[in-house]
Amino acid sequence: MDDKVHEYQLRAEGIPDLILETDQTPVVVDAGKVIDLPVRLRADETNLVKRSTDIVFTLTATDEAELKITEKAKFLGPQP
Amino acid sequence: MQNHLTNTTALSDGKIEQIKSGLTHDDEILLSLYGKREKVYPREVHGIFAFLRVLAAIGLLGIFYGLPWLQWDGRQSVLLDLPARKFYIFGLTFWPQDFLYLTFLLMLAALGLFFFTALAGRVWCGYACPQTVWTEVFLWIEHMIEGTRIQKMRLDKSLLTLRKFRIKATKHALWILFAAFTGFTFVSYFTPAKILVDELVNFQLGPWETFWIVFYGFATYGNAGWMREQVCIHMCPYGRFQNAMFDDNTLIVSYDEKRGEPRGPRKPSSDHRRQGLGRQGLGDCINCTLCVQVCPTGIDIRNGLQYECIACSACIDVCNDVMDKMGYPKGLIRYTTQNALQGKQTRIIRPRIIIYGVILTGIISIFIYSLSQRIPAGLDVIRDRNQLYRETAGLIEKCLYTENFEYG
Ligand code: SF4
Ligand code: SF4
Repeated sequence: MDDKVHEYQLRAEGIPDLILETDQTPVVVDAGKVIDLPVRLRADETNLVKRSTDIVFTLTATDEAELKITEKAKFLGPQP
Repeated sequence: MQNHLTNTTALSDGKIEQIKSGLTHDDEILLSLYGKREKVYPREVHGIFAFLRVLAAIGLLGIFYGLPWLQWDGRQSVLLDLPARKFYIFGLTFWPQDFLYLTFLLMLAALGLFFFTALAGRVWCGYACPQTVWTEVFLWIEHMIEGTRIQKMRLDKSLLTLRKFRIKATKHALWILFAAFTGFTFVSYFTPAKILVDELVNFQLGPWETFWIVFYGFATYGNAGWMREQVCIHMCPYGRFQNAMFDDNTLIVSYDEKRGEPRGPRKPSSDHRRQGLGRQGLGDCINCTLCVQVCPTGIDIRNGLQYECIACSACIDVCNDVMDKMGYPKGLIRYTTQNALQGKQTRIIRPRIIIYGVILTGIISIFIYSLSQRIPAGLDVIRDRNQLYRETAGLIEKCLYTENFEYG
């Protein structure tokens, strides 16, 4: 609803000790712009009970806590 | 559905004439399409509704011409920046992704029209429609330059003299000036007004800006100066399908035929109602035809409700004056309903109104709620298709792309 540059923080949850890695921190997006941000998720195999685990990405603006969105995804791994 | 266009209760001179000359309504329409248009010279009118109309016109035109000059957060308050695909409306910024809200807005407008038409007839036409409002401004300019209705008619009939040329040229110059300013204002919703002024004085207007200023200005000049009531009668789809939204409880402008007929001139002091030897036995209408003279669409309201009537209530104002002068109660022509005219109770709250009202409130609520909940960012997660995972010393690594966009 504004027209400003925002800085974001991206988190992933759903598996204990899930680690999100990206080459680009902090995540800065210009108003009206779309960016592609490649990320890697890292989990310990012992924490995976299924081949596919539901995880949730949460994007929060660091300067505005209300600006927050979540998106569901799946973590696919080897058959445990 | 009752057809209100041929009002059955109204004793209609026009209809009688029609039957006499053997013309059906369709024939008339056909003739009117091909026939030469009779120019309408609406007479100036004063009164409470005329005052309300002027008030509405000033308010609406004030918004239209004023908004581009109002600043907000360091930019123009309402600006539709097409190249950047950003639409600023006061504190809000909309992006093409917010297209949904436009759909909402259009739905609201349509439903609002249904609701208010069912309730109060063509109030939109009479008070708020741009066609009506701009026509009124153009008529006002015409009135200033050419004078009263009679003077205008005489001028048009007279031979072209230098004086006539001067008057006509002045009028058209003023019309064109006003129309050009209208076109300029329209474009300044897309190019900031201040920049547009700069470009204009330095002769640096872009081709599209020039085109739209000229086009919009020309449309204003043509519609409000020349076409006028023709737009309402022949071009406006809303004017044509309005009667489907009317029912017997809809507010309409109507002549009280029971009270007015038989019409006829009389001496001011005569007890016009009394019948008998040498007595006239007349109704309240003195047949002064003022109601016809003020009508911007050139119809006679005494013939009953007609599709041409834009419910501007000019005839109400003028007839009230006449009634005052004659010492009769006001309201021979008045806002009323079909039911009231037939001596029945008018029901404002009725199923149609409730249904329209509920849907309208519902959509407004959803609209406001979704606007307040709008998160100006989006997040898409796209999994890397080439590599599902990679094992690195007991850790599973997963490759993902997150695409995230923010819009405002
Ligand atoms: S203005 Fe009133 S009195 Fe005069 S002709 Fe019309 S209805 Fe009759
Ligand atoms: S009939 Fe009366 S209300 Fe209807 S358009 Fe003419 S002046 Fe206006």
